[in-house]
Amino acid sequence: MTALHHFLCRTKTAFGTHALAHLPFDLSGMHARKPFVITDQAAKDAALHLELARACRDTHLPLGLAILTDAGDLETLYHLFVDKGYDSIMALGTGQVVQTAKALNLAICHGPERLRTPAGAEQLNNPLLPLVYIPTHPETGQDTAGETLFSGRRFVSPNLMPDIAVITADTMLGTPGAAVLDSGLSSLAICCEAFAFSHSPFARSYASAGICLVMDTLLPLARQPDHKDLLCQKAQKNRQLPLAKLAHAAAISGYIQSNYPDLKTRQAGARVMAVRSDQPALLSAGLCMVLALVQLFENSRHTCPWLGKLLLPLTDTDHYTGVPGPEQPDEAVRIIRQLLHVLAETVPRGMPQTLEEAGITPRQISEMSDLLTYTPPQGAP
Amino acid sequence: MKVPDYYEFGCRTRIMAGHDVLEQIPGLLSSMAARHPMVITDQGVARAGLVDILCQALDSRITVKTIQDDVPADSDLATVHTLAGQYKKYDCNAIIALGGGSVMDTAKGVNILVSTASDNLLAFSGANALPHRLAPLVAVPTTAGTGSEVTQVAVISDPDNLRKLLFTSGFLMPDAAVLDPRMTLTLPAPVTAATAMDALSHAVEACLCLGRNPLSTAHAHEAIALISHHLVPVIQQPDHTPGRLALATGAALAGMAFSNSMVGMVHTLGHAVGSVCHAPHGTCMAVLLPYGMAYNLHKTQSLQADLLLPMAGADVYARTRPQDRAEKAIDWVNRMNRRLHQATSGAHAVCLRDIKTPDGKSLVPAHLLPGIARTALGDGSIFYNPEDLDHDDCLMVLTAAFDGTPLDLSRVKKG
Amino acid sequence: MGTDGFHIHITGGKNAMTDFMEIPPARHYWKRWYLSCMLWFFGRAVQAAARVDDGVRSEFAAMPDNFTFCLGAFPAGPCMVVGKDAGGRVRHLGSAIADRTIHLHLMFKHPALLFRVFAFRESTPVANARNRLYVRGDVPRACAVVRIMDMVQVFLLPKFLAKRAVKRYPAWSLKRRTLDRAQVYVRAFAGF
Repeated sequence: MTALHHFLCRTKTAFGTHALAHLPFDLSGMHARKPFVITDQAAKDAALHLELARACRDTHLPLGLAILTDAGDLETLYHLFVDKGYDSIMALGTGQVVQTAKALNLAICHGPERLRTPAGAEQLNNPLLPLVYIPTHPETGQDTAGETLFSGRRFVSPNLMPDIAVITADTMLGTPGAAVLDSGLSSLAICCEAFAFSHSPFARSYASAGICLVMDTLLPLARQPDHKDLLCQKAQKNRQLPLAKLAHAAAISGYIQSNYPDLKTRQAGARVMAVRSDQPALLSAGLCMVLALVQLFENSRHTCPWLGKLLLPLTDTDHYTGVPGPEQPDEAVRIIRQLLHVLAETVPRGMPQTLEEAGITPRQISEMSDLLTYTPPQGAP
Repeated sequence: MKVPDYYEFGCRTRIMAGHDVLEQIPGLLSSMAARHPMVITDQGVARAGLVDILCQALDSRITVKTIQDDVPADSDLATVHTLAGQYKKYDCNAIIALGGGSVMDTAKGVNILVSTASDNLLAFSGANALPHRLAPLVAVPTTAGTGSEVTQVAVISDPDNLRKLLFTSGFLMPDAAVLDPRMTLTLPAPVTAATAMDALSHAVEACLCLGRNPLSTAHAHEAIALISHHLVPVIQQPDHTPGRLALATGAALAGMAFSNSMVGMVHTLGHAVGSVCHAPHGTCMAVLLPYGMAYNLHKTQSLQADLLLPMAGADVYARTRPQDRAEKAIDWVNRMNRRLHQATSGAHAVCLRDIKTPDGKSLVPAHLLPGIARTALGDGSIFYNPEDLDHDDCLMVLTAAFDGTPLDLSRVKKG
Repeated sequence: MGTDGFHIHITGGKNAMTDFMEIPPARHYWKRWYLSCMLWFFGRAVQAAARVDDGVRSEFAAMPDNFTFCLGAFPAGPCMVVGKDAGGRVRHLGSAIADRTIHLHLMFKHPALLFRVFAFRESTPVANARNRLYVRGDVPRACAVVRIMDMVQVFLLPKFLAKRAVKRYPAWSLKRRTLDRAQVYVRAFAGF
């Protein structure tokens, strides 16, 4: 056990069918009587706002619904919210919608001036208004993390995590293959790193569930991408539940990111993307993170005691117990490489499976060595 | 991965675990502008010197306004009202709950009254009845344990009306759970064994009951692995702080698991035994756990097979044939009870008959079993059990557990 | 402009980049009507079963006189109220919960979730495990009420449906399955 660890997840995850029907009761538990819903055009075109309205039937819950366009206007939202006396916020849509919702929450509770300068947990100590997040696609975890970006300024606080994340197949929209891969690989990288290196049983528990969800759904979804004409409609019936599970994994990765903001894979992934900014179509953030993860694991297979146990959520109990202990770290890395290999077959233009194939030179890898090497924390076994 | 049609998982409590983590409490309370806490504890904890350790860890940023150590073994309405009065008298603005399950529930009840400026706790019983956030509450468990430091439930008895009141609300969750091994270092071996088996029963039932879900199961498996690995070594070497921390962490994980997926017949019957015979909760759980697993075996075979891995390790799991793993898991629990019985020189009971007072008097006489079975039918956990239970079923299980004989699976009525 | 039965008022936002609309809460009339009918009949069946069946009668015998409970949907019903009068007789008391002391509430968190149970898409134990309902009041009495409801469901439903509604289909005597069942139906329709 390490000397000290903290874990905080403020978000209640509600997953499954008829999840929206629980919302009026949950909102009443937070004394929210007049929610303000922020959504986007894609969700509105797919009539998801009507799903939400249906969930509020027979419950005396009026909804205010603001539909964001690409640019979004926080000032308009702020005035609407204040003038009409809303008392809670629901974000129905993509990551951009929930980031706007978080920024709005900050503006309402701390005043609009708060958004002029970046702030951390010390300045954003007070509780915010109830925030419910209903994703329409699998995201990359920053949607449920305790942070938001507004006008290039970063705000960080556990209070920014949604109170409830409602993840349901009923609100999943058609999602292109690239977004599915990006989300799944990002969640996998974050959860694997947390499992292997956090030394926190609390983080490992969440991470374990997240890894299982990704391994269950990513490959089938990648093999059957949504046609681009379906992007503003509900996902095909057979894809709705897998997309919801992937969204669930992404939410879990957000909880982990809130507790471990300095994840090496996230930093290394960003560095790789910066180096290869000439190839944005080839290298998504999630892919860069997993490529960095594999390198990190290769460098750490003899120093990290939990790397072998990662094989359990990556596969299943029979596979895990069938591999002798000393061979488990190598097998875990092989499973991740195998996944990348099979996923690459689903991408028409191909997909790099190592940092070298992504065009990162040995010198550049060496310059990232601090991010690609595991350092045991003080007090760790 | 099997995912239920719908589930919820949440734990808003900040977990702070590690060596010397008590020293983080002043920073935590200061960040909530709550520098004048009341400490709620019980006399056993005070006698063990744990209040002194806590106070020494609190620096000048915090002024403990009062220490109330009169909490009884079962939290009750009168105690809650008395302590709420003390909170107001000493002008406190936070609560530190230092103790086991009863102290935690009492602290939650006090927090309801002082935060709502009410003198009628009954008005807030049931689900979702609290109107807003409560005063800061920091939970410091001194057993490993009930898991109450991470649940949104408080159970407070109303002895005048012979009932237990249930309070459920997200607002009841402590702001922080502080798991410091110093708080359990001096826990006697029988109490260590019983409370750890209580935590184990939480984790096992969280995996098997109707409310199970992937996140609860993940937390429960971590808990089972920690408890399985560390319990006997800690009994043998009580001052092993990493082991104590592991057990405390396991108990908290198990608490997070069962708080979201609920528990089943082990708690149904165990609560009834505790209520009728005043037997220690953890001991009842330890005795009844293998019986609950056996009773539900036909409904949860594959789930129980999965439990063998965190319980007994990869080698045992791999060597056991798939069709034998579930029964092996039950056998493992029985063997754990026997090991603990030996390690505690007989103080840890392996059957209901063996649950005794310190002076050797049996706490669970056979003639009370039918009454216990009747009481069990009034416990809400019965509805989360995979298989149905009526009075005869409860009595059958209790009779087998009384003597420590294996359950006759052919008599289990299958739904 | 109204769509799908809602009254939706669309206003232009201050800024062309944001559209805004207010959606007042609506009612789902036919589902409410269906639930009201089912709850009405179920309440009368509980009353009937209390007259006819020893199992149901003994559960009610343990409850005090003037005890009432309701089964319904948050926040505003529909509901069914059953209670014992001052003489200990079990009565279906209709659907109104205002101006009445209810000692025990078994409430589904939404009418749509109650509908799933009464449309046999989800059994009560499964709905409970999925957090679809909550209880306010004495838990042991809530357990007794659930057992009563299970027995009444077995009386009312054909076996293939009742097996999905309860956790374990009971092994009842022939008399209970036939004569007593018929009595429950007759009394439930007739209201005595």
